[in-house]
Amino acid sequence: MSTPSDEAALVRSLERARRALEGLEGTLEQARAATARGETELDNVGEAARGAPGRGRELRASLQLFYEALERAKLSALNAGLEAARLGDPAGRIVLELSGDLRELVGGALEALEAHAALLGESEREREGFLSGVAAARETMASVGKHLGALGRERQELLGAVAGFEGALGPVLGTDPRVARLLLELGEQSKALAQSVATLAREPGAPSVERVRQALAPLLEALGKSTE
Amino acid sequence: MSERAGLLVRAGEELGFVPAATARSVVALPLVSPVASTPLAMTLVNGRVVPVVALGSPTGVLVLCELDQEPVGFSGLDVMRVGFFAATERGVVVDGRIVPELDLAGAWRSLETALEPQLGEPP
Repeated sequence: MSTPSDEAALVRSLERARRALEGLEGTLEQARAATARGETELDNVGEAARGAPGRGRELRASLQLFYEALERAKLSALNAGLEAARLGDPAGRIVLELSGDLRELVGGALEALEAHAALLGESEREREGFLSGVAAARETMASVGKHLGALGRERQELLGAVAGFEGALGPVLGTDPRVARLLLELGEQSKALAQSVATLAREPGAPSVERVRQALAPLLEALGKSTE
Repeated sequence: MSERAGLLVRAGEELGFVPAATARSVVALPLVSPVASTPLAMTLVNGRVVPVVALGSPTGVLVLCELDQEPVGFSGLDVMRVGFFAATERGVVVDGRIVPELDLAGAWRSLETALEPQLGEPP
């Protein structure tokens, strides 16, 4: 057989569970909103990065044009050198040196262009990796959203179960659960009050009984009304 | 010491010398078409059909030469340098190393020889 104290504790626990479940709704709502914002931001980031391949192709095409022009320039410099060599000394040697310098410069430009193309390829690979990461994050975010939805439904079910339990508890306890909880609170507060009165009586300048009765007047008045 | 003007080329792993009197120009390797049932290949350079002799794997350039007053293209050559080089009996000296002159005329004649048995034969 349960004591009134056990019953009140049970009622209070149920009350706490119900409040926690109600508070959970706000947290869930914030989580849902944050997930939706995250999904939108990821979509925006992905959209911006998806435009890059077109620009990359254009860049590659212009690099190819540069490359071909430089290759032709290199061959022209080579052929100028060949003509100069055919001319012989001394005029030919000067032109030959000039064409050699030109070939060297063009060769340097070609190397720089190849390095540039390699960097472009690397940045394209990095972009692909970034896009894969965004897609994975988007999937994870969607999965979080689904789980949050399921959590919300479960919370609703739990709330219903608590309400049902509270309803069923009244007939079992022989009293309304709310009344049982209030009685418990009243009992605890009256214990604390009695302790305060005892402490006050031990004080050297303890007030008279009349003075204590005056201090407790609101309580006594409320008690008189409740028993009428 | 006398000098010779020309191209220093690489054919596979070997260095070779092509005299400026033989080499006319170096062009980007055009589309080369094999001639059926012959070891010969042909290409078009500046609107003119030119026979092509392959001296190695394609390198991206064709060295146009003049042999017997006719243009002949040589593919598979990588042009390293152009200039004047110290002459030796059978080539030039480059960085203290003797580089033989490439026997382009011989390569061209061997191709002509390969074609000869087929001339006049019924198809």
